[in-house]
Amino acid sequence: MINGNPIIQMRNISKGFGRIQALDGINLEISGGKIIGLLGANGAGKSTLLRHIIGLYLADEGQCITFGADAGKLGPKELGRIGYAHQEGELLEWMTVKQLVRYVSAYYETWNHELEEKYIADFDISTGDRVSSLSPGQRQKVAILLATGFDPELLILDEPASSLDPIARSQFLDLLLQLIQDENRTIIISSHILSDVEKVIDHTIIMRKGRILRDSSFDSLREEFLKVTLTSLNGQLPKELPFENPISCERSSSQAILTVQNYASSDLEAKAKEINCTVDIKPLSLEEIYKIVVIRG
Amino acid sequence: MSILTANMKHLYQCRGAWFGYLIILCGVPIALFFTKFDDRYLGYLLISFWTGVFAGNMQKDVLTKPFSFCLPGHRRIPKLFIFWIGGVVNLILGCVFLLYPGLSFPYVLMAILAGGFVGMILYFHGVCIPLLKLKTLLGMYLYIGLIVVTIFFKWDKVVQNIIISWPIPTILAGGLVCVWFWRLLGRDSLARRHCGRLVCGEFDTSLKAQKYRQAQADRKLTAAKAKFFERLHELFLRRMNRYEFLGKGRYIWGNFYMVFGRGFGTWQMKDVLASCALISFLVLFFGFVCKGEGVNLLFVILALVVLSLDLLPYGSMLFPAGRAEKYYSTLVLAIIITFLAGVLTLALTGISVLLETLLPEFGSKAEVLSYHGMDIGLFYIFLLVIPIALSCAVAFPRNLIVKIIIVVVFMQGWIISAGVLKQPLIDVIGPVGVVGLVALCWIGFLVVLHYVCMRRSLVGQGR
Repeated sequence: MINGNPIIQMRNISKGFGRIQALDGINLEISGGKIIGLLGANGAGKSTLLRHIIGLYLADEGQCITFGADAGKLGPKELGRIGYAHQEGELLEWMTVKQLVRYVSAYYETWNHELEEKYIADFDISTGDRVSSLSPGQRQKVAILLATGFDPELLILDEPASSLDPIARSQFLDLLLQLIQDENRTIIISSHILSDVEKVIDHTIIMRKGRILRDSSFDSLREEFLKVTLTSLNGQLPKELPFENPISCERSSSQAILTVQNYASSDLEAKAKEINCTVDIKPLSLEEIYKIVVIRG
Repeated sequence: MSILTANMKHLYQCRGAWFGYLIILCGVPIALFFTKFDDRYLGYLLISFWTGVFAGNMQKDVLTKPFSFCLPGHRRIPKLFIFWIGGVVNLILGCVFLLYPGLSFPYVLMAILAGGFVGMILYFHGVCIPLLKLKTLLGMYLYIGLIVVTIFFKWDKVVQNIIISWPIPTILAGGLVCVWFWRLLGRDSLARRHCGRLVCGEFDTSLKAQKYRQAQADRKLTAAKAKFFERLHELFLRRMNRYEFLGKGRYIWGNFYMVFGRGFGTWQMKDVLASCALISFLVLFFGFVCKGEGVNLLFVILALVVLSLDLLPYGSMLFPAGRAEKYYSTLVLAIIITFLAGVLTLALTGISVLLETLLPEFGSKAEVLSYHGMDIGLFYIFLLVIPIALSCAVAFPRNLIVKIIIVVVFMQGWIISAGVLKQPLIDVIGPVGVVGLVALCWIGFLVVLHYVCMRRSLVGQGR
C-alpha cells in the first residue's frame, strides 16, 4: 500500500482470458507524485493491470477507480489527464510523424509544443517519414512523445524502452527525470530492463502469475535485502555463521558472501564483531532483489 | 524431427487453413451433384484449384520464415509437398471416371489418370496464385472466368470428351506440364524470393493484411498522393478544431478520420479498378443467370461489404475519449456508412434497370439469355442486412473466418428463403412487418454496439 491520497485504487480485481487467469485478486492503491516500477516476467499480468487502470479492460470481479471515477466509465476529462505508451506500438500507420503529432495534439488543450520540439530534436525523429516505415525503436520514441506531449498527470509506460538503443534509452531516462520534476505527476513504468528502471523509481510492484508479490517503496526493499561480505581477521571463519536463514551464502576458508533479509546494518556489524570479522554491507541491485522475490514467491 | 515435420509444424500455425479444408470438403458434394444429374465429371476441378491455392499458400507461409531457408535440406520440401498433395488429391478425384458408363477396366484406368493430370493443371494454377507471384486478382478472375465459361459454354464437356476419347495424349500432355512445373519449383530463387518477406495469404489475419497493404501503398506513394493525404489531413483537423477540447464533436470527427484514413492510406488505383470490375461483373453475371432472379442478391452482397470494416480501430492508442464517446462516435459512423452504402446500392440499382432496357437477348433457341435489372422494391433487404453486417463487424473485427462464414450463411439463407417463400418477403409479412423487422435489426445493432463499447475489452486478447 502507498500512503497519501490515492489516484488509483484497485479492489480485489480479477480478470481471466479463457483458461488463463491474468489477474487474481489484485488490491492496490497508488498515490500521486510517485514513480512506480511495475516488474514481472512475461505473462505476469503487468499490461493487463495497466489496461484496467485506463478502462481498456474491465475486471471480471472487483473494482478499479482512477481519478475518483470507475475506470470503465472514465470520460474525456479523466482520460485527458492520462498518457499511455503501450508495448504494441500501434500508431496511425498512414500518416507522417508530423501529421500524427498534429492529429494527437489536436485532442489536448495543454499540448506542450516546446517539449515536442525539444523531444523531436533530442531523439532525432524524422517528422517527414511515414509512421509505417519507422523502425521499432523510432516507433517507440514517437509513442513516448505522444504519451508525454500534453504533460499528463498520470503517465503509464508499458515496456517503453524495449526497442530503444542504449543512447536512446539513456535519453529516455533523462526525459523521465525531467518529467518527475513536477511533483504532482505520477509515472507507472513497466519494464524488463531493471538496470534502467532502478535509476528513476521510488516504488516497486512485483507481480507473478496475476498476483502482486511485493508492493513497497524501493528504499525499503533495498534496506530489506543486503549483500554482506565477511572477512575473518584471524585467518579462519567459524563453521557456523551467526545469521539465520541467509538467502545465499558463498564462502571460502576466510571469506563469506551472504545475501540476507531483514537485518539492520547495526545488527550485522555486531554479529561480525562476535566472530572477529570485518563486514562490508551493500544493498542489492533491483535485478537481484527481483530474482529473490520472484523465486521465493 | 524430420525436415518434412518441421515444414508441417509451420503449417499448423495457419488457422485459416482449416477453413480452406472445409471449402475443399464442401466441393465434393457439389462435384458429385453435377456428375449425377448432368453427366458432367469435371466438377472436381473446383476442388483441385482450391487445393492448389491452399497448398501454395501454406508453402509460401513456410518459405517466408528465415528458419526454412536455413534448414539444411529444406529447399526441396515445398516442391515435394506440393506434388504429393496434388498427386494424391487429383488421383482420388480422377476416380470419378469410375462412374462413367460403358468403359472397360483398362480404359477407365487411363481415364482416371488423364482426369488426374487435368486436375493437376488446375491445381498448379491454384498453386501459382500465392507462390509464383501470379497476381491474386488476376488468378481469381481467371478462375471466375473458367466458371462463367463452364456455365454458359459447357467447356468442361469438351475437356471431358477429350479425356475419354484421347486419354494417352492427355496423360502425356499433363505429364509434360508436371515436368515443367517441377523444374519451375526447383529453382533456388523461389526460396530466396520469399525468405523474410512480408507477405499476406488469402486467409491471413486482417491485422497482417492491413500491414501488408500499408507496406505496398508506401512503396507506391507518389507526390500527388502525398499531397492528397495532406489535404485530407488538413480537412479533418479543421473539422475537429471547430469543436471544443474534450467535446464529443472533436472525437467524432477524429474517429471518422481514424477509421476512413486507414482505407485512404492504403488506397491504390488497382484496388479501385478491381472493385469496379468486380461490381460490374456481379451486376452483369447475376442479371443473366437464374432468369435474373439472382440479381437482387446484390442487395445482400453490397450490405455485407461493411463486414470488412473495423469500426473501433487503434484501441491501444489512448485518446481523451471514454467508452461512451466510442459508442456515440461509432454509432454516427455506422449511420454515415449506411448512408454511403445505400447511395451506392441505389445507384447500382438504377444502372442495372437502365441496362435491362439496353442489353439485348442472346443465346440459342433452346436457352435464351436476357438481362434483368435489380428490383428497387427490394431495397428493404439492404436495410435489413446492413445492421446485421455492422453488428458482426463490431463484434468480430479481426476474425476473418467468422466473417466468411457469415457471408456464406447469408448467401445460403437467401437461396433457401427464395425457394421456401417463393415470393418477396414484403408480400409475406407486409410493409409494416418489414418496417418492424428493419427496426428490430437496428435495435439489435445498438445492443451489440453498446455491449462491445461498454462491456468488452477494447484491446488485446479480450477483443
